[in-house]
Amino acid sequence: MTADAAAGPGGEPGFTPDFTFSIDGVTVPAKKGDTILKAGLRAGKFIPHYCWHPGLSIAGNCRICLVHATKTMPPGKPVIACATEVVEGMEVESDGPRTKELREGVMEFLLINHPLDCPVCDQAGECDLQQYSFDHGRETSRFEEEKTQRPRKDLGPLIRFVGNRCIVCTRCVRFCEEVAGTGELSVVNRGDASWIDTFPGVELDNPMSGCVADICPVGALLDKDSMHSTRVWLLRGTKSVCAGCATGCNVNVETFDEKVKRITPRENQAVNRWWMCDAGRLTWREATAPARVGAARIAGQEVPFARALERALELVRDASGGVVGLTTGFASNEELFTFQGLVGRGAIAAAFAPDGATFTSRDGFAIAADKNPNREGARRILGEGALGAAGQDAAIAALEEGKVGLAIVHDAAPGGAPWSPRLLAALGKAKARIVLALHETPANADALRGAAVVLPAAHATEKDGTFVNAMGRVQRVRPAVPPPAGARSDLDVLEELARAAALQPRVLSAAGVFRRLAQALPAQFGGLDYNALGELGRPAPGAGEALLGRGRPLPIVDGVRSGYEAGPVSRAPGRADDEQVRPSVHHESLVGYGTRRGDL
Amino acid sequence: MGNVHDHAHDHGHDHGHGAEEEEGAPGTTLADRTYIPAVMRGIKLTLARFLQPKATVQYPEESVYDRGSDDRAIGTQNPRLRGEHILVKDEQGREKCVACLLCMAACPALCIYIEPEAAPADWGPDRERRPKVFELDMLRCIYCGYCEEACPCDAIRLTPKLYQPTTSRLERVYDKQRLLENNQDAQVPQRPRK
Repeated sequence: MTADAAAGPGGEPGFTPDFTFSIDGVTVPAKKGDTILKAGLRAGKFIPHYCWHPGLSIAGNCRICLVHATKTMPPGKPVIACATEVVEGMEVESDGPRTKELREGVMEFLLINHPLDCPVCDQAGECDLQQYSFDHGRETSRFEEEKTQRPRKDLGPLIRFVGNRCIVCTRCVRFCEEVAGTGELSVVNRGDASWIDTFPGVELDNPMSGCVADICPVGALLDKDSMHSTRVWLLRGTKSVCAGCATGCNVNVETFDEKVKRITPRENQAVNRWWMCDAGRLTWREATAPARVGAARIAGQEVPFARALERALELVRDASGGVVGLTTGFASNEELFTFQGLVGRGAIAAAFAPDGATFTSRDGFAIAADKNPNREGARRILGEGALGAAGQDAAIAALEEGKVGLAIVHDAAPGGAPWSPRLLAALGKAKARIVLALHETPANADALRGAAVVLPAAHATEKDGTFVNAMGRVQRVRPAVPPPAGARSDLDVLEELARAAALQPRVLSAAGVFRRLAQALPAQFGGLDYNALGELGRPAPGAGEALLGRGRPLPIVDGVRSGYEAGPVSRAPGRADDEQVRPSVHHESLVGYGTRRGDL
Repeated sequence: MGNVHDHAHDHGHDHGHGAEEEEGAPGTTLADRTYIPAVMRGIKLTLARFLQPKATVQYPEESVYDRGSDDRAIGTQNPRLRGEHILVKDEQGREKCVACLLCMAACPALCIYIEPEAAPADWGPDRERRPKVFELDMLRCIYCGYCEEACPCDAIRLTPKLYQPTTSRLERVYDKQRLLENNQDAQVPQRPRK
């Protein structure tokens, strides 16, 4: 196990304790300058907190982390664990009857003006207020007066504010100030009339605004995209990677009833810290867009998937003449490798989505301008020659020669791959054409029109495989939902085609293809083991900050184990923790493929 | 009952004494051997039953409770019987259900399926959400009443209406409209708000 894995999510690779202190009689190692809360979390001792977040500065205003500790001034006075530095030999009482009384008191204050609207609140089920009320709160309220009423309004395009639920912990204010760097939010008014609002004439519309809904410990800030769509306790999380740009943010794709309900960030200190951008949050809608190719077609007629695949296999078997392949920066490494094998010595061209908006947060989180999740993978597997205009020119030359028997187009790019009009025109010169397409749009309509077979391509939320992000980190993308009706994933289809072309005796799963890929390309993928990629991925050979090019590199920060991982805090950790990798192939089919369950 | 009992007794006696037949023992007299009195007794019983009121209940058109039977085995319908569900509307005609999905979570038979949506704008600020889809599979339902107990809005209630047979399973899956209209006349006591 490498140091990276041993440290865990948000762990500190080089942690060396300076001294020890004790929490509830348990000896805890600490570094000079640690707070009680931080050192406790590192050692797995959870102390409740609302306003403290590992990625934000210490505010110390919620008071739920009050504990009793020795060696504090004045002696005997409770201290807040989030802002109190530990000293050697300090004895902290975080779980005794005295501390319980403190928390009961704080909870009572926090709940004075909090409405009892959990049944309609989208935070219910992953709400810290609910959790601590259950753990430390009183059963009934002694408050008989009228609760204050605060506004309910949209703060920006993605965020809705429900004032009555706000406990004014200021996590969102600090996020906009310290992370996004845009500072749209502030606390307005005083006392029990204070709430969170944007400055006059300003909207909360920074590129990471969705994160304030994630870090809000209560239901005051809600993501409008997933609001009222389900209840969180129904959701099943799949640990995957966002396909919105080359940063490759680690995400949980949260699904219910085989439908994606939302995408939330997953902590990875080497990639996205705790954050993700708003555009990435909405990528799941690509899978349900009206432009989606939902059914297989033979010569323009919709047919069952199995029949279309059969026809494609025939075309590959009977192909005479050369083969030309077109792919995109949205294909996984495994798909690219199998695709390359399939095209063989023929020309291969990869198209990439054009550069888009870029943004670098104050803490180093970067939205890459490169909107292709796997451009780096395509470069490593296909080589520079296949990329961009050079690759397209080679493909056009091969096609215009008129000796191409089969063109295989793998277009997994949302909105259609931007192939040049010349290339699309030249495609007609191939005797037959097999197209795997995610969307049908004006951009790629010419590729689909006149194709012998069109098969629906899988969206990133439906794929099993790996992407290489802009920094050269190989990360797993896992299938959260099945591909459209009856369809099989792109890798399955490509592997079947490769078998039909007598290139290989059997169809492999993503794990199997990756194993071959790592053996075939030691300079690009050597030393990587699919099963050891884990949840956080591994750097590929030659990975580094220089690859990012645009935006600032992401530093590995001196973080502690995040609250997300350490206890019942925002975004219910247990929900996504079970490692459930759903095979993209039905178990009964495995026998026919000569593959064992373990391979998947 | 008397006849049946006698016959059984006779038979037992016969069997017990198998070989050693006595004069005048049951089954040996002329009357017994012609079967006529036994047949007459049978016909008498049949005719007596034939003229009595019919016990058959033409379910589902009628119910055992319609008769007002004083048979203790049937009794009267308990007003607290847990039968088919209704979705309740509020004073303004809006469904009370806020699609919190707590009944779905509480249901041990997994018979409830709800999809929430934002409430229409003209419903006012006090209502944020409502069910877009509310399906209740009456065939899966075990009528335990947990949904009623879990509901924070008093929106789903069990009525004393007994479930009706249908000719297809799909008809037993009630959608929102059917649940809203189901048994609206039922006298469901309103619980006081806490």
